[in-house]
Amino acid sequence: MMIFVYLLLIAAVLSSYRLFVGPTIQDRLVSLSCVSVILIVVLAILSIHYNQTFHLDIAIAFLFLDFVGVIAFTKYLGREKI
Amino acid sequence: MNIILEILSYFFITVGCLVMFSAALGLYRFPDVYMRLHSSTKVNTGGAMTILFGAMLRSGISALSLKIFIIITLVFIITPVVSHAIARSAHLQSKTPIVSFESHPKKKYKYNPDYLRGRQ
Repeated sequence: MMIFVYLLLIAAVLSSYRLFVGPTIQDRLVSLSCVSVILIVVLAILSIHYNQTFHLDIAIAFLFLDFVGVIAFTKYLGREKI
Repeated sequence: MNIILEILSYFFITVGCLVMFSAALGLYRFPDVYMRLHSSTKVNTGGAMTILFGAMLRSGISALSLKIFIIITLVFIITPVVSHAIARSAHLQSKTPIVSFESHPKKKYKYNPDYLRGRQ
């Protein structure tokens, strides 16, 4: 099980390259969303590895945090009202 | 029966990990916002749902499985909404894609080098 966690963490590092050197703000937002989904999956794999459920609560909270943050940023960039 | 579920869950988790790694590779390699969205969002949603389904198969019928099912539903709803909002904000800021069709039947591609320097 830990092999999958290491593979997904390498994928998270590859995506967070775009978070630092992306030419536009939208690239950084795409990278942030990708990294958050990867971390949610890593938390799910850890929860079935240790057979405990409190990782999944953190995953649900992290998913909603990503949703609200990215929606607020995009509404601000498009000069729209929320 | 238990061994079959175990093998199926390992199969789903392996396939999903490879798919999510290819999504990250596309996010690293592609040259445009829209191409990165195309690579990241669809592949990432499918891979995450596959891995979570494998985890649900492994844990059987329990509270953990129910929570994983809730996470599958939320990922299935939230991730396309987020990608749509990002593409809409890029369109409202008048970001043009790099590849554009000059004429429909010939489908010539035009390269826009100003995008890579940050000037729109």
